[in-house]
Amino acid sequence: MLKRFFDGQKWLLCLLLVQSIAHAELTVEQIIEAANAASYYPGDDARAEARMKIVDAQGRKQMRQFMMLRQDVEEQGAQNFMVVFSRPADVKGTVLLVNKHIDKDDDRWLYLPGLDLVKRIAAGDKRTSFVGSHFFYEDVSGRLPSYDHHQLTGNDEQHYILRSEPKADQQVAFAHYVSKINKQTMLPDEVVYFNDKGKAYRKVEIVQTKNIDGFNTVTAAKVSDLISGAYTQIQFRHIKYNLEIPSTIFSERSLRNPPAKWLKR
Amino acid sequence: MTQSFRLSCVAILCCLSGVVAAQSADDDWDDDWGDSEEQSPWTWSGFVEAAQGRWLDSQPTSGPMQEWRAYLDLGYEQEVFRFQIKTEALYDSFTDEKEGRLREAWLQTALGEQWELKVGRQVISWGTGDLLFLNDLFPKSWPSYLNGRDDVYLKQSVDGIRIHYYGEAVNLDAVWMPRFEPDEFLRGQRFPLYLPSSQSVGFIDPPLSAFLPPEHEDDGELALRVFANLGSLEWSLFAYNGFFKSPTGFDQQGRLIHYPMHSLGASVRDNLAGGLVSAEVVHYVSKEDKEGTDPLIPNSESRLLLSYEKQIANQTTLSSQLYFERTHQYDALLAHSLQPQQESDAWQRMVTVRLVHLALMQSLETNLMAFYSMADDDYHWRLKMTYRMNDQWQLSGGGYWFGGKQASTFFGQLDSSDHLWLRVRYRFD
Repeated sequence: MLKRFFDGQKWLLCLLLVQSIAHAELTVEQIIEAANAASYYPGDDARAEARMKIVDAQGRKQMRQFMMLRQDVEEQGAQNFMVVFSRPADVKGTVLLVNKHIDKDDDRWLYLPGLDLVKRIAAGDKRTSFVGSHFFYEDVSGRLPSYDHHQLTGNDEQHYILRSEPKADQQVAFAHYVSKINKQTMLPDEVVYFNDKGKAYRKVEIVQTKNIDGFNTVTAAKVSDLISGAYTQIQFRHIKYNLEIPSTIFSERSLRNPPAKWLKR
Repeated sequence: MTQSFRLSCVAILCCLSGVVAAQSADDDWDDDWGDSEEQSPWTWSGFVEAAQGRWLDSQPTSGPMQEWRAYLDLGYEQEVFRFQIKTEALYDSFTDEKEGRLREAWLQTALGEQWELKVGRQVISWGTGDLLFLNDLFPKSWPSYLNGRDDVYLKQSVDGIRIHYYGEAVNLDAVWMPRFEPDEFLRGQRFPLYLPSSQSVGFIDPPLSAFLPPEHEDDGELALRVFANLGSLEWSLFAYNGFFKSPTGFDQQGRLIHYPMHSLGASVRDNLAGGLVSAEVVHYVSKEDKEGTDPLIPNSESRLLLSYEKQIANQTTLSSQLYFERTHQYDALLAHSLQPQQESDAWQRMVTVRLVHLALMQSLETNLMAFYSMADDDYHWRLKMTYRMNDQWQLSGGGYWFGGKQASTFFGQLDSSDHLWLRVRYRFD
């Protein structure tokens, strides 16, 4: 109870701070909401092809290539994702299905074609590597804004600069992160994560955006391990929005037989 | 023999170090998506693999796995249908067999909006168990389970027709196999077995073989699953009509026989307390010995499996299973048994624990699994480490240990079959 009161006080403080800095501009809440919508909810559904280049600290390289379908169940709320891997050879035909929920654990399934096995994955830490890359599951499907306290700390020509701290119940490796939200696209051009010693150790940045079907869309991004120098680049292409994908596509049927109709370009 | 194992290891390691050096010079992100602007309907990939095992106990052979494998996977996909062919060439120096195998060859097509058909040789899995199978009555290869081969080889392919119906409320999955597809069971060739006749453990030459009862020689199998999701809860009902997959009965001549069996079962699975919980139950009906009075034919039985899995730390998952097996008409079994003192208990209880840890950006997986049977007082440990060096090279190694109080139990008979194994695989696409 005391904690909730304290949190409420902090929010109020944030709001006052924001209003004094941003003048007539957006409030922190509005910025966060717009950035979340622009990053993870453009259109009602989408398909894209993606590839990742994973480079370790010694410069050794790995590739991942996959197709993705996304469907919003509710705006800024629950979503369905399907990821169909095509490369490298050991993950070819592997399909990941995620029912993302806001108020409870996500449901996740993995189809392993060699065994014809639909394996359900225990809901776990979303800040773990997505298929061996430097991206986390959370970078792909979105971190809930309500997990952190956000504060507007700066405001230049192009960006809103936000500082976010995890709420007390969040067990995460970062102490805070700083985001630069592009005022035009509302996409986070750069997010830098700091550890509890105040040292920047991880950076996620947008490398390229394009306007596709009226939506500002990330077509290239990079995540860097600032300590080791390792990084992962990701590129997207053949992106389409508002295909009206039926919700039945996000089911066991598609795990066993990926829906060519919706995956084709 | 030992020297050949060492030489293989040295050769494997030399290969790997050469490849790592070559790999770091390679840098070609730029525009290679591995396809042209046109989406090709064809896909292909493959691997070559060398595998070696070595006994930790004194055995007449060097180890239960010494093989070379080349594998090719070819696929073609259109909007309405796709087909896949997975073939492999295997040289097994344990049995000195060279063979080409068609692992899978199937055609999958939609029949209208809600029906799908998959015809041909295919691998099929269902159920909730982790290396324990209740309603999954598709054939297994028990030698592959024990000797260190890749997990996929635990499942054997079947020749069959599979029909899926995806409805509004429930879905149906039906498989018809025109010929019986038995397990590849332990035949006393690769692993020594307990022989009730001599009450001792040994290799069997010629290896054991098994038969269907003559009047059922042309019979096939039918397996059904009805399933749906209720929110995040998954439920399934299962039915099967066929035979005991491993030969657990005998005929008058003492030959091993797969007797007819049908089964009914169910499973549920859901998220619980940040983990994953599941329960599965099955009842096997021994069709030719429902009273349990024929000592040559296995009795009916019921099985129950309870599982829980949870991520306990970053990149670390712990799971555990409790397994119960109840032999029905047990009094009749004992009353008519030829060797009552050799019969297993009416209740079998087993616990398994599996710990999986990922490290080095998920390229190093350590996987430890333990089985302990309370009724038989026997155990099995499986340690496996897999290092994925890059997209092409993968090195796996492990150790399997077995033991038990009595040589007549499943793991107990393998007491002197502890072994280490090493596999190296090169993938291409």
